[in-house]
Amino acid sequence: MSEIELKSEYYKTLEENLEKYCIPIEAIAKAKESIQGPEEALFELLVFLIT
Amino acid sequence: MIVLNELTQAIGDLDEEKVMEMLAEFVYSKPTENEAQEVVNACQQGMGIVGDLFEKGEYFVGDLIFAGQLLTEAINTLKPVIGGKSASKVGTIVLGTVHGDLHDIGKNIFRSMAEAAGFVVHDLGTDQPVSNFVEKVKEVNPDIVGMSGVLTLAIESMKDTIDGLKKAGLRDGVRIIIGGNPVTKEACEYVGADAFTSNAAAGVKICQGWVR
Amino acid sequence: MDHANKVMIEQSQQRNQNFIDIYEGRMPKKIPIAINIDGAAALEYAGKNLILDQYSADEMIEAMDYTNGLFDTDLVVGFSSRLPSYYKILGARNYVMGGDGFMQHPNINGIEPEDYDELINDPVKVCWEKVIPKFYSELAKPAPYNMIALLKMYVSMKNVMAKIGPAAAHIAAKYGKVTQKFYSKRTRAPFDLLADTFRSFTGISIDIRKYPQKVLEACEALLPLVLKMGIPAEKPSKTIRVGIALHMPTFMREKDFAKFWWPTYKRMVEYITEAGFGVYMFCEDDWMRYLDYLKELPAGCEMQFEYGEPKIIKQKLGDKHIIEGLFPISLLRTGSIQEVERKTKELIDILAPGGNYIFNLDKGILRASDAKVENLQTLLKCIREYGVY
Repeated sequence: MSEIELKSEYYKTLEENLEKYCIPIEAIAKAKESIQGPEEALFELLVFLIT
Repeated sequence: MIVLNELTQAIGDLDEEKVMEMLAEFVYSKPTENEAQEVVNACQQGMGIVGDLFEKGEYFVGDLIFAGQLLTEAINTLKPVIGGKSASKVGTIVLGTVHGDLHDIGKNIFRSMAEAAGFVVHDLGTDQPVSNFVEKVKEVNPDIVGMSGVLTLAIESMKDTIDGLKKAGLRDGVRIIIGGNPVTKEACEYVGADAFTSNAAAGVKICQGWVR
Repeated sequence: MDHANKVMIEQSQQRNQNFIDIYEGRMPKKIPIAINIDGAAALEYAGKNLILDQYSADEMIEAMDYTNGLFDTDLVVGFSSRLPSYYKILGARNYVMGGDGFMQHPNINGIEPEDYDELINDPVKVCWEKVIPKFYSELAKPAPYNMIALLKMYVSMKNVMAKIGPAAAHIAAKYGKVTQKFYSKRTRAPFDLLADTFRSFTGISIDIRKYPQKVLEACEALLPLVLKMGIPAEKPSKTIRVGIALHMPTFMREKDFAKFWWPTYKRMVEYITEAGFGVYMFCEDDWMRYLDYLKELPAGCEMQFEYGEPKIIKQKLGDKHIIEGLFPISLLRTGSIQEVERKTKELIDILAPGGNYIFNLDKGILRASDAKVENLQTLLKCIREYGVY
């Protein structure tokens, strides 16, 4: 259900982050924890702060 | 020519557009201060309808909030024609949420309705210690003290506050009304208040009865 | 492995199984108990200082251990995640310590009506740019003050949770409590998020009359956000419950509820259920006038009721959904042991037949004064003895 996906200037998917930080797309599986982990953790923190 | 009972009904219906239209026309017609006071009274009667519908379970707290806002807007629109000597103040209330409790929605609804009814309201704010109530009562010598609270611990705080007023020799000089979720007849007796309500409009009616 | 250990491990497994059976649609051996106790209450039961001890993970852990020993609940109880250290570091306006040490949640709005279009366009952006600075004075300051404050708060949370996590697991094992994680993430109905975070209770009550179209569009725009907030990372299972506290409906007229609140909430529950998870909703206050709506939700929702008629709730919803709640906490505060036992059995007699029932109070125990020790102990003992299928 793609219309349900969260879109924001302040939230990036792993692919978007790889592009943003100029990391080769081949690193996608390896970068999940170190690059996307913080994105998700920051989202969780935001939710904690706004609720 | 404003039709007073139409205005009352429009307030009761929470029909903001109609109310503001009627009042704008009325103000434009350069009314006398007495005529303006009649209109204020009509608005207050409208609030009585709101309170009744809340009691009946047709309006809910969200509607009371809107009603409070509508009333404030109405009174603001009428201010230029109510006059310098302003509506005679019918009485004074010291109001606050008791210590340990930070909730203020109900208190604020009550305050705007009481002010619209002509009371001077000294709103202490939330989480008010006993001493603040006592000092304010000493300072302004009100007719009424209103205490609000939502948490169950508010009942004990209300009792503390009333005991504090007794100790300071101030209890007999005021009427006390308590409001909020946990207030019941038993709570009212336990804390030593004169009246209780969970309906702001009904609370204002009680206060009006006391100062007549 | 010593005998005491084995006994507790087996007890944990049995208690886990009662919940698993309910969530997977079977009759359990005994009624599961979802009673929870807040961290503040735990500190008070343990004789600790509410104003000082919330700053210490060690003190809070001691209080948790004591409280879990004092009360034979199924769940590990006694921890609150909203701690004063975080909120002091951030200069919070939305979570404030009351005069007696209890953390309270004042009514504050994140945005004004003129911000609706921006909200509808990108809610997360509005959170970072408008809501965060409004709620937290330190985060409204320019760099580097704001980044320092945010990082300090995050580290404070990490430091506390690094101790609490293992301690909670240890306590679960020690007292034979539930060791499986049933309650995962928490989220809100879109309208409630709009109210609680963005416009406040007061604001939204006015907005539905002044800006109804904006409210509707905002609820739509918040649906992806509340879903991401709620969908757990774990593999889908009906034993994993997404927690939703329902806030505004009982303060609204039905026609406003039906127009503004219900549609996006229903879609949210349907989505979470289709994704393979379960929903746990706290129907705060009195939901009797909305029971027919609740009936429309996908089967197997866990619904905790605060006030209402147990017989009618069971009759209308008990086949389709998991019912819990309705036991008046006031009885634990001021009732006698006999009254507590009588009420417990009365509720079990009405709500337990046929299963689909979890025992809970009408609301959470927030302070020690909410529940006398002997009353709560009696309650728990009574459920264990009487609540057998």
